[in-house]
Amino acid sequence: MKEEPVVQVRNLGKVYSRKPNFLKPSYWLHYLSRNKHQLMSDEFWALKNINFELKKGECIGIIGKNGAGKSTILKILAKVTEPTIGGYLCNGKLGALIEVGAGFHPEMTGRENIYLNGSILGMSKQEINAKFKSIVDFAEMWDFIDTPIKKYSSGMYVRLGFATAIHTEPDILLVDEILAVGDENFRVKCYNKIRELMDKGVCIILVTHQMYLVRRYCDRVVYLKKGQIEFQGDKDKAVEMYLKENFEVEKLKQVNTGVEILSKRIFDKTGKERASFKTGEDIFIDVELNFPKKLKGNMIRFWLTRPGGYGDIPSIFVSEPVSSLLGKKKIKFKIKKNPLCSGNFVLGLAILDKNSKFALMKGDLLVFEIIGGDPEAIVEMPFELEVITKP
Amino acid sequence: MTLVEGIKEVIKHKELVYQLTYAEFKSKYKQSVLGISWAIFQPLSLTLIYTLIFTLVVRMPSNGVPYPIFVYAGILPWTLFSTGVTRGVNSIVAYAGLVGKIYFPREILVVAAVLGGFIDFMFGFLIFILMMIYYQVPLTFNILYIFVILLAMFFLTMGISLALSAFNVFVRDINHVVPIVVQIWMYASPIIYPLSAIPPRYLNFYVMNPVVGLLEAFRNIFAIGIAPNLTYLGYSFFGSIIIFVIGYKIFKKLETKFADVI
Repeated sequence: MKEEPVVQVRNLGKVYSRKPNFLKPSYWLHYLSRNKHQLMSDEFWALKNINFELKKGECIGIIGKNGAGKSTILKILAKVTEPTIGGYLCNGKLGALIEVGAGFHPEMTGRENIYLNGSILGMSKQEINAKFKSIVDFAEMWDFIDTPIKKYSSGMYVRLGFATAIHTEPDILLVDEILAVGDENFRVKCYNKIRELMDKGVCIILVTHQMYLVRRYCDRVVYLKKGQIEFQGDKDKAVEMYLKENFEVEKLKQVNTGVEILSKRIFDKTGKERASFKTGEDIFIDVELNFPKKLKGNMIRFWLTRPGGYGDIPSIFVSEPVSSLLGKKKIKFKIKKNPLCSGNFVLGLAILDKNSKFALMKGDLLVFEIIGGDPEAIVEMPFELEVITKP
Repeated sequence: MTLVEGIKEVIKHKELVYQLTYAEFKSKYKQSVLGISWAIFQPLSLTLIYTLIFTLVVRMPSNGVPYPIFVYAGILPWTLFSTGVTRGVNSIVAYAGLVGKIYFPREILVVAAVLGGFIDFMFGFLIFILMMIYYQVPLTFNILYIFVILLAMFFLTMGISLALSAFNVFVRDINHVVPIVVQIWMYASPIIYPLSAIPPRYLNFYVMNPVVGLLEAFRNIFAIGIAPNLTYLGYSFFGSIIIFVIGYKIFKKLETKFADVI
């Protein structure tokens, strides 16, 4: 059986106006006198030629810099705004985790707001009644359910909003960066819930800046740049492209000091160069640098990430202040009894000057592999655990 | 989307209509000591002022009915109209956060605002009944016309609110103009004076105000206990429906731009 796409987006385009000036007669003169296909001077294409589709159970990630048009796509799919040209088809019930809790009314209690927000999201009273317990359970909100929502903390607000929105039983779920909020426990709960929905065949369109989320959930990625699709397809490739560009932005912050890396070496205690180490081994790194200008009050920083994750996945880093640097220098770095877990690691090196600007920034100085330890984890820590029976 | 489909869509979201009306109502009277009494305080205080002026200072003809009853029978349906319009105009902008983020039929916000006026009206109406008992005004079967009047009132208020609330998204001045226009409109309607006070040669012009037929009918069936002037009522009724249809079309036309502008 040929599978029909659940979401189909064709030639979608959206024109936005920077500052519409309806009140000036000149605006209307221009409006009437222009060629129909011509944009007004204050208009621009926020989205252009957007094409993609989703099959049942697929998750597509939309990435790109701020203002690339990611959220505009979601707004169009969510029927909040209309496309200027092109169209889209959604075969199924749409749910949106965009600004959860937008429909909350501060004067009303949590209970009343579940009903209000639920009905905004298109649920009937019976549906909300049936799911009420599950919503409050999910939000862990029983203690405050009859408190006016204006007294809630922002975390509670998001929890209740997310819990309500996730219970609308959508076929297509739009997710916009909301997982960045809430405490860690709740976040894990949300991920699990989204995973559960995916297993049930719900399509997900995920807009995020968090590359590890893209890697973890998405089947494919649409990389947007200035309103147009720069790349669509394999997630690793898309993420790499995106990071590379962001990384270049990072470079702009560098001070032009002319610091260069002359050589780099990674080796074990016998002095043999290696690219693979066992957990617990000592790792030695030597880096030779040339400083053409004198740098004062520096900080040397080494950090480790999983590949492709400059700054977007958790990293471990160490920093050491050093006095002035000039001429050829050799940095000897030793990771004692490395506590790292299986998988590849990227070692980065940065030298920050006294204003915390990068005199040198090399995110991918060396790549090496670790064998041993849980690949899901990053480090193993020494610990003791005891269970004591009270006398 | 045709008008019928649009109305069906709103009915499909009836839970939202209820929830929003309730939220409006609750937040309006929350954290006030007198609470819902404020809904009746406004028409009552107006009644008191006009009664003092037009019975003690100047004498105003009132079709042989005690003036308080006479004027309250005008103020009550007028307040229904004016609060509906004043709140309705602001309804879309007031929920800007929602309109820019979530889809739902936007006209529901206007419906909820207008229905808020109807809830206030019901409380005011209870006072009206008490006043009628006090002044021993007899009731007749003519009061059944109330349903026609309220229906027309709903369409009229909705039509004006829909169009103005949509304009207000683009040009916020509307919000400031409306209270002034409503104030003037009040004196152009038979509230503090009877319809019979209008010179006959201006009458045809005067009844072009669609509120006239409705207010006059309301006063006739309750305060005076006679049948309404069916010509005027019919005229207002169909006028209201035409205004509703036009207002709805304008709203639908502008609605697509709300999220981009708001």
